[in-house]
Amino acid sequence: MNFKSVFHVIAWLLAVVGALMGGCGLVSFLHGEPAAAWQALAGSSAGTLAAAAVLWVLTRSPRELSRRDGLGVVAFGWLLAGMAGAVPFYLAGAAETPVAALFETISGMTTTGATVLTNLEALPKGLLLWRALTQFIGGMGVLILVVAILPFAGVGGMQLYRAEMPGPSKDRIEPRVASTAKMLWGVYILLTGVLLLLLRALGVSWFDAVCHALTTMATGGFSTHTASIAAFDSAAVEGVLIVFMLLAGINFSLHYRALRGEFAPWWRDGEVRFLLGVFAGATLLGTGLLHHARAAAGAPWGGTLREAAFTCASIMTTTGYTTGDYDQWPAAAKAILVLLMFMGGCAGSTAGGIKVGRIQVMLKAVTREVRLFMQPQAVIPVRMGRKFLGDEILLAILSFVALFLFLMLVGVLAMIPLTPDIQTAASSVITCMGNVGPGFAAVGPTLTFAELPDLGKAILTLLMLVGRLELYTVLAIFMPAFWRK
Amino acid sequence: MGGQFEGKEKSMRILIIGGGQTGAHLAEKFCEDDHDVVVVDSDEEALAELDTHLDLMTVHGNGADPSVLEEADIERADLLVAVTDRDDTNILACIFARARGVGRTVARVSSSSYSASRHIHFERLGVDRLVNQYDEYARDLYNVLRLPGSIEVADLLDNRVMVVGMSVHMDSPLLGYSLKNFASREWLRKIRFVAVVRGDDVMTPHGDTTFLVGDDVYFAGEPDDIADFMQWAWPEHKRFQRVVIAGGGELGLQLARMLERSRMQIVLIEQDEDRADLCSAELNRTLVIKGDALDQETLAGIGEAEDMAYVASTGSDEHNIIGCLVAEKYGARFTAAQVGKKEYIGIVNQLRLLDRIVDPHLAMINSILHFVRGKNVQAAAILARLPGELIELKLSPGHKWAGKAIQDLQIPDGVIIVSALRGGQVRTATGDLALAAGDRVVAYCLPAAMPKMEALFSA
Repeated sequence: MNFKSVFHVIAWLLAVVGALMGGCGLVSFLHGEPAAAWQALAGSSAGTLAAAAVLWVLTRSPRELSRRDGLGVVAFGWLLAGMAGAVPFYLAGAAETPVAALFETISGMTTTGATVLTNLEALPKGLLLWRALTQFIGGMGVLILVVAILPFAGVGGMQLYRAEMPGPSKDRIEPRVASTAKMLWGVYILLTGVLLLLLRALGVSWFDAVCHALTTMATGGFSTHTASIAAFDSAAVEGVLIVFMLLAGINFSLHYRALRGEFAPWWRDGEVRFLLGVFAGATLLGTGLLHHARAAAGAPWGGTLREAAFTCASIMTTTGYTTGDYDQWPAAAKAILVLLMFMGGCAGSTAGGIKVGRIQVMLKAVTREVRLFMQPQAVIPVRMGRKFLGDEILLAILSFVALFLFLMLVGVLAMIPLTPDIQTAASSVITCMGNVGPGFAAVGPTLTFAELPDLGKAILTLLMLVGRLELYTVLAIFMPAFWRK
Repeated sequence: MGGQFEGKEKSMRILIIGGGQTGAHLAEKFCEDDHDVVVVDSDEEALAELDTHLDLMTVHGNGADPSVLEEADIERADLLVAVTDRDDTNILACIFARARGVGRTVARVSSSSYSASRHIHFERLGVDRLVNQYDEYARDLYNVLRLPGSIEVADLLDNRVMVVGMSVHMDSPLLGYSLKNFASREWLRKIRFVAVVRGDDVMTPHGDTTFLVGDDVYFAGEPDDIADFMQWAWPEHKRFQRVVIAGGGELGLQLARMLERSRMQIVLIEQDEDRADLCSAELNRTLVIKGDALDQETLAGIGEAEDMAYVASTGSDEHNIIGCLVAEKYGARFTAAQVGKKEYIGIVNQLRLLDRIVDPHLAMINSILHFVRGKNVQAAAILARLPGELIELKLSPGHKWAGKAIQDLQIPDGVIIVSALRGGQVRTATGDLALAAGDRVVAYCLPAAMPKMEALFSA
């Protein structure tokens, strides 16, 4: 790894983070909030910008990024940006320990949405806006943003794009990586703007509309209310959010094509169909199970369907908004939610999880093995869309899934001594690695992660990064080969 | 780079069909020039290789398959360059591209029957330019045979100016002197020194640059002046009297056709009877011999000659290399072979087995780049061993260079003005030459100087 080139890009990244924090500080100041609130943001912003400037000067005239450097930029960049972004939470007294503040920020940037803050209404608006912004920049990828707005030489930008973009295939919508990054961020911002206006039209306040638009398109799930979306108590708001959460869970290059007038790829995409099919199936099944459990209490069908649909969309796209306490759901319905947490959204979306495409390929590969067991001479291809997948790609995808599950298992084992019960340990790991947000039991939808010990928060912070950056980028820095010159 | 001299030209979206050696080289050039590049190839490994080194998009599939072309967003391309090793694929890709509204298309072909056809108008079909790879190699070889001893040769300004690279030897009259010492020589008014390559360094020569043994010097001028200058500076390189071409394939035949314009005696050896008949029918004063070029009797039958050059252009690399070794034994002063395999090129160069390898790609790449940059920059050439580029620019009226003498211009470091073409007449770019609007000016630019030149000509 070449430190100079790596930290030169990170200097730019910190500058972006510092500038955004400064903006939030300004909002806080203009809202006439107490000095402690805006000073925490302004101070962190100034410190981050100063650090960025020093780093930039120290690393002038860097070399072109190699592939390894790209991984380094993304892994260390996310960590350092998370640290810089955590400062205001600690300074403003919102988070009790530095680890808790880092947990909150990384949870934001990885669009997980797990929180340690227990009373959101009491927090200054500037800080809540910064919290929503951490999700927004992390959603499409803050380094992809850097590539989009700064003139990085092509190859270096490509390494960053590869290391940060989720999904097994890194298809590009434009030949040049800088234009690809611009288009993706353009679509992202456009959809966020549309959502903002829709929420505003439904009577949501400007501040809430902005924050929720930012965290919905990022599939993040940070709300400005402790009760999350239930605070609005509006079927229309929930309906709009369901649609936009699903949109955010779909490959943004398909949205880009649709905006250019090509709708066919959108409809024909196997991942989209699978995602929407799973959503419909899970909603119907969930509604049935919930209704069965609540029939005695005489709960109406409509309310049950509304709760099931919103929860399924929120969990499947790894957003993590809640409208009800799904920890009270019957066990079978909870099991469905766990499966949805594993799957996540499509490749190239802002959603987390293993990704629909990989799950599809895994299912097909397993089916093939079973059929081959019965009929060894059969030649059965595994396809993704129309594309035939060779053994090499198949192996890569299957080993990703296996490694993902293995790391989860290790995480759960590590969390067991740090949590009150196994359900908490398991669900906290699944929800954090899948970048969902709330889990079950002690980290359920109505509770927070505040009660976990600092060590537990640190482990989950690492797992959130591992999940968001799709394993290898983070794991690479633990390899000796990575550090060689 | 070169494409941006007259105002900042908008970057193009270029679709390259075929990611082999030629395609990869072109992709690299286009990326450097800031174009949007998409490469289509059916070899996934080649694509993966490209993808890791260059900022471009790759699409896997057959380049003549409409669905693959759609996947590559063909309708958005401004230019299609088809350089797979199959003629039919290349031509089909161009035809499809035109049907989808692509502005310009180039296809590489290896059979001369396409370019020779008078009845099928490829331009009307949608192929703007057919680049025959053998024509390009043949021209390359022809240039070297014309100027014995040269490392490489490139034509500029509609073949009116040539750039030649030569090595400075122990007994060269240039040795130990600098250009200042030759101020009184008449040739200095006609020959322009472009670059001196010393080890890994490239310099743009000034009046006090001294020539050393082992330097590769590049100079430019009109063909006749170049020939006179070379007679003086490299008297040991006498012109060839006889050229033996082994292999009457497309390359050999084309080369023989070109050589018939010179005074050299030409012998073409072809093994296949039918092909030999065809060659003899096509050619006028070439002696066509049916036989095996590796057979001692065949060579002995031609008779020894003192100033003989031998060119091996059979379809087999191995045959060509061995053929050259045999010919050397029979007194050939110069041997050249067509070698396609990359692995061989390195080995042959290392062992110094022959004088020259015909690099199948470079000549064609030059030709394609000429065409692609055609709008503002009429010709550009890359020389294999010389970094940087020869660029041609047209002085627009009102440009700050127009009307000034070269010595009064503020030329960026690493740029040398080579010559100017005004009203069909070539003018060597001596310091007192005043440039005028409408001049076509050739300049050599080191890579580092390109941005400055760009700024200078986009202002």
